[in-house]
Amino acid sequence: MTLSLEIKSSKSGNPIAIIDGVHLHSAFNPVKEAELFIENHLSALKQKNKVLILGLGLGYHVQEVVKNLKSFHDDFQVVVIEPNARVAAECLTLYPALKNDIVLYPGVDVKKLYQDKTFATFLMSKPAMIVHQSSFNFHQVYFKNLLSFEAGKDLAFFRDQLNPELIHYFKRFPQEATLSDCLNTINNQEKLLSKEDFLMAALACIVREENDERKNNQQKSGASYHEKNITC
Amino acid sequence: MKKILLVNLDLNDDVLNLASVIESLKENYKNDQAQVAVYTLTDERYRQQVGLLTQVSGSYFLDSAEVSKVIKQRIFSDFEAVNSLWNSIREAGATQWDLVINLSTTEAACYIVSTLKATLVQGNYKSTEKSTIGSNLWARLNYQGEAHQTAGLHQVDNYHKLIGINRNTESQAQIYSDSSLNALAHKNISRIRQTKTNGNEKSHVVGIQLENESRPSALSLDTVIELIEEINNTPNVIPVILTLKSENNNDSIKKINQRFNRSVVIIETDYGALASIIVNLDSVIATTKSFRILADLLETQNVYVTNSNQDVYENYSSLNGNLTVYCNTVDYPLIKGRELALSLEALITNQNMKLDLVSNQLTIYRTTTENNELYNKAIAGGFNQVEMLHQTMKRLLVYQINNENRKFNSVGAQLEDISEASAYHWITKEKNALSAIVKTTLAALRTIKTAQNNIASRKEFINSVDEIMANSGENYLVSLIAYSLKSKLDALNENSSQGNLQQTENFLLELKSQVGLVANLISEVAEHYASQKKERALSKNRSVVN
Repeated sequence: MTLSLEIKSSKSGNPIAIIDGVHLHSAFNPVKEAELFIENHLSALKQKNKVLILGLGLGYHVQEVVKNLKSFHDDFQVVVIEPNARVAAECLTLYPALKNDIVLYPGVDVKKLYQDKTFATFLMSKPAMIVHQSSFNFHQVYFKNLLSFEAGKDLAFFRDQLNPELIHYFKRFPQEATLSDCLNTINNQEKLLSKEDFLMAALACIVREENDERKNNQQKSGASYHEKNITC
Repeated sequence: MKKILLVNLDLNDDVLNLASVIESLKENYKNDQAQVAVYTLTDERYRQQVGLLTQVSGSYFLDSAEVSKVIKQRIFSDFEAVNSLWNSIREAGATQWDLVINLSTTEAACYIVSTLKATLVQGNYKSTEKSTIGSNLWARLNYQGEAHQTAGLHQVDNYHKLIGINRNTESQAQIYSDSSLNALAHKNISRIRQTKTNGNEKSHVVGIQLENESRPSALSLDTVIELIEEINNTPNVIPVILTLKSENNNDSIKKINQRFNRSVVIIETDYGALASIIVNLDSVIATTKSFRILADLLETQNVYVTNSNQDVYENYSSLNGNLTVYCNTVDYPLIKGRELALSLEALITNQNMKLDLVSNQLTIYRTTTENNELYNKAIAGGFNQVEMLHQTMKRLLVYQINNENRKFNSVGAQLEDISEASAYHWITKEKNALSAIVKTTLAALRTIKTAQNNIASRKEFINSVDEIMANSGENYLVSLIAYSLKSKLDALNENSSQGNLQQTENFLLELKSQVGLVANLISEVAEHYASQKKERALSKNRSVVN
């Protein structure tokens, strides 16, 4: 479904985006609105120099985040997810300098987003998260998928991202095989026949050690853990 | 150009021990026409330490943290771990190596070594049948994938034995240090030294390592503060705090500054500059192996605080006189600042006075030499005499198995602190274990001839070998040779069952002769204590007569 997009002028003269008749920003003063909104996030911005922003709109809140980060930190990283590529394009046309300070993912499919190692690694660094509510409301399903994403366990999910040198080797495993299945195959194989077989056997050891360590830590702390567990 | 790859993928914070190995390798091949280029493959987390190894032609790193991270996190496909591991070893895997030396102890490392293209592998690797193959006895003892059997020998010595080269004791292993940083550190530490002078006596500046505050086994901040207080009350000794920038010890630094009103110098650094600082200090109290090894390499006196029993026997300082403070519980906070201050005093003065004040949960060891062999001698605190005797005898046994000419009397001084009661306790345990192995070995040898054709005999034979194997994970002298047999049987790869049986018989006969060495050692310990007892009785009689 294509949403209608209009760009109008607010009372203060700043442009604002309207999607299907709904304003993404204040019709009076979007800059002031952004300042007030980001004031609530100042302590998080002081503590963290990495920020994930869900929803770009025309970027007033993003500019405010960048301004504050520049005053708090020597270096910083801002990643913005905007599901609507047209909105993103309008924003960058109006404020082209913004792209110097942020990494923007416009209209990128959630699965593709996570296949981007840089993005996944950025998330691993536990950035502060700021939600632009009016953008979020328009793309609730997208953002909920983004926040609850779990990578596919089977080979089919990852086949396109496999190192080209390994593609031929992994042809021997069925598409639906998980890593545990592949490692079990190697474990049950009487002989290791290739460099890749030895590599997989090494990985099986690393996974085993990792699982043992986590079990030990879990026993020590008495806490349950919700991280994924693979067996081999 | 001869290309050698040194592999140590253990997460053990001891990669700086490679410096001595590289030095010896260079020395060993110095008359070779082909020049030698040594490369390293270590874990990514030790990149900074590897940067200190000057004689390395290239370094490769395996990012095990990245592999673990991918496995743990739901946002990554598990298959991402395959990519990570492949990318990590890609470059080293593409090179044709003349020699790959695996010093790692893990099974994963053995598999990784087997992916490399090597003309010769020393250390452990995996066969296509997944057996662990050790290039010699020392390699097998360096492998801890299945059983924790070690030679009881200093790790660096064990590495040299594994490679089959002599340790180069003529020249000190080289460590990178920047001359301008050296000069700056010298100037600054000299300035610190001048803040506490007493007449003509030179002040002593001691660096105290502040370990990552979030690490559970770290020395507690309270202990460090107590230690600083003790040192501040000691004439001519000045404490400075050493901490790595990457450790993020901001809270601890803040508390030390508050407590001592900013009067204690705190040096935040990285490994690149650490060498320049340590070489200018008079001594170091280290809580990680890398600091201790670095201090050793730079010949700076040091006290090493550890709660690992293995460190006592295999990772003690390689410089005569240095101390190891071993805490026999996992809780470092039990160590008192006072106890560390006394250890420091013993280090500086080279005396053992006052150390009886340490608690029984601590043992203070001093690196000592006997017959050109370094060992850790307990000088204070409570210590496990039976274990000490056991490690000494184990070391001797390994030398004897390896046909090195070491006699029982070469370790006489190492038995001085071990009581008769402890020795007899050890003798009884060892004798029982020995009898069990002798019985099963003889049973196995009796049945092996008939095992080929007779199912009942084969069952009996397999049971006997199983019983020997069951001992290979235990901690008796005889377990060491059982472990050696186990490694050989694991690697057995004859094409016929007849051939395998023949080889097994050879191994069992070898084991039988090695059992004789164990029996001899046990008897020699017994005789040693019996003669001491006799000596004491005679001298008592003499004094009564007089």
